[in-house]
Amino acid sequence: MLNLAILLQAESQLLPWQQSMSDFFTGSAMVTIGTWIAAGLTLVMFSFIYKDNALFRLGEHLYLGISAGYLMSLYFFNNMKPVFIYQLLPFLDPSGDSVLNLWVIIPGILGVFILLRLVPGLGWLSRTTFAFYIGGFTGITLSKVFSGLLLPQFYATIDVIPYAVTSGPDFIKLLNALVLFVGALSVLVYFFFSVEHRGFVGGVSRVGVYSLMIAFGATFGYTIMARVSLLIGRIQFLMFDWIHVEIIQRFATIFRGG
Amino acid sequence: MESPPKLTFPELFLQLDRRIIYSLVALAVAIPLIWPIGLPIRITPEVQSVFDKIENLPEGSNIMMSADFDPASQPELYPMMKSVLRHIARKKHKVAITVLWPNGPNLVAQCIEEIKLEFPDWKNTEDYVFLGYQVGGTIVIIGVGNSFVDTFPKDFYGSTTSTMPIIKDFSRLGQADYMIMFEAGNSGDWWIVYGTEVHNVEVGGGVTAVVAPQYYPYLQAKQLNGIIGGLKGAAEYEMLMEHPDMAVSAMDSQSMVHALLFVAIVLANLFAFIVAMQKRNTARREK
Repeated sequence: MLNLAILLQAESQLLPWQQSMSDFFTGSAMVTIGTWIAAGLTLVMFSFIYKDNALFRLGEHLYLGISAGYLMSLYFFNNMKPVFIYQLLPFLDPSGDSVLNLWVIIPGILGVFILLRLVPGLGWLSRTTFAFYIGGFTGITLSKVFSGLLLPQFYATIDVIPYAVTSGPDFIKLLNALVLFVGALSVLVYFFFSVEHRGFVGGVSRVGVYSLMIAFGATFGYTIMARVSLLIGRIQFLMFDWIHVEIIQRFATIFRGG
Repeated sequence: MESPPKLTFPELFLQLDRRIIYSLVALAVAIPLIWPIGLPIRITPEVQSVFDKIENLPEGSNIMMSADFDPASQPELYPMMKSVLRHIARKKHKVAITVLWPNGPNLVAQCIEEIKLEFPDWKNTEDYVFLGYQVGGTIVIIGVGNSFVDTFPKDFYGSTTSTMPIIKDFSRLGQADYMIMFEAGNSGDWWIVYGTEVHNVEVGGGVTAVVAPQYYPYLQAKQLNGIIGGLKGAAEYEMLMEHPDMAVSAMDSQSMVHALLFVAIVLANLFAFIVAMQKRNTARREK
């Protein structure tokens, strides 16, 4: 609810009805109602842990529906209106900042082409848009990915060579660089299928498998940490924003003679 | 009627109803929230690097911030964003904030409101500009590299950006002295490839734990100067700021659940091994 209120406040010049809505949503009663709805929906989603049920499905559909509706309105008001409609029909812009820009017709037509996928017989037109998009994007991307991603990562992987020469007593850094170098190389060998994985190549690819397993293990550990964090976030909301557990804490302190 | 065979304790443990484990996890989260234990939080070098960078910049430096997440990652990224924003406001740096995820802007707006309560002199359009969300992902990053005003003619609140005082000295990504990005997905890759590498801006990342392994190679390649990873990273930053908040209060719960899961995994493997041994011995005896 607070988010909705902020969104309404985000309008620089609020109309009277928008002002009324903003006041309504920032009112304390509405915040309480919003908290109860959020808490109820949280419990509904948690109910799936016990068993799949109709309430869980209701919550799931509600979430998807609201998200889709919100995103659609966001795209329309944040993008379609200022970037397309107001550029084509400047007199509709209440701020009067927009000027006629006929160039937007081209992306407009390309956008309509994508929607024509729904029309049998005209769906092929969408390929024009996708070809334009993919071609343009590849052109923009290619050089930047090479210079900004591939080469720096490559240099970082072969860091072992300068370390081997200059590390001196910094043995840990050298070892770290060496582990990375051997790990990266062995994983690449594992994914090289043109040579049979036997003998020396088989041994190296086995090291690659172990490297991958270590990486997956680290990722799994982090994933558990992330999911637990989300659970903590929800339980914090239920305990502190909804049932105000501070009262229990205060009671516990008194009980312990604090 | 034949009675079912009596199960041994290891067999009973392995058939434990998953809802019992869920209940234990819920208790492991809830109890430390009511009665905090106060387990120590060790500061890692990657979080320290981000803190030091913001701390050591001269007052009034330009910082670019991108909050690329939505409510699904709020418990992890919101506390660290709040801490970093508090740090920026405390050090009187200028900050331009963008969002590449459509459901993210209201979280940032809420965070700004909370920071403004702590720093009433922290002024919109002078000390910070919240540019809001713009569709396009990589195209927005490339646009921000050229001009904030062209990419975001209006800010989140509907004000014209071209006339803002902050824009006078901070009008594009290249003018940033540092960038901090909060990432729940791969938008951070885009920022590095299309933004900070192109404009030679040092960048630090606040990331969810799920995507943290994806960002560590950038740290190793020095394309990131530091990483605040997950709730633990957020708690570390709060400790560095000497302002314990949401993340620190959650760390006891996090540690308790990890301990519980560790014990459960060890016991389950141990009992699975015992059951397998028992079955093998029984089969041998029957032979």
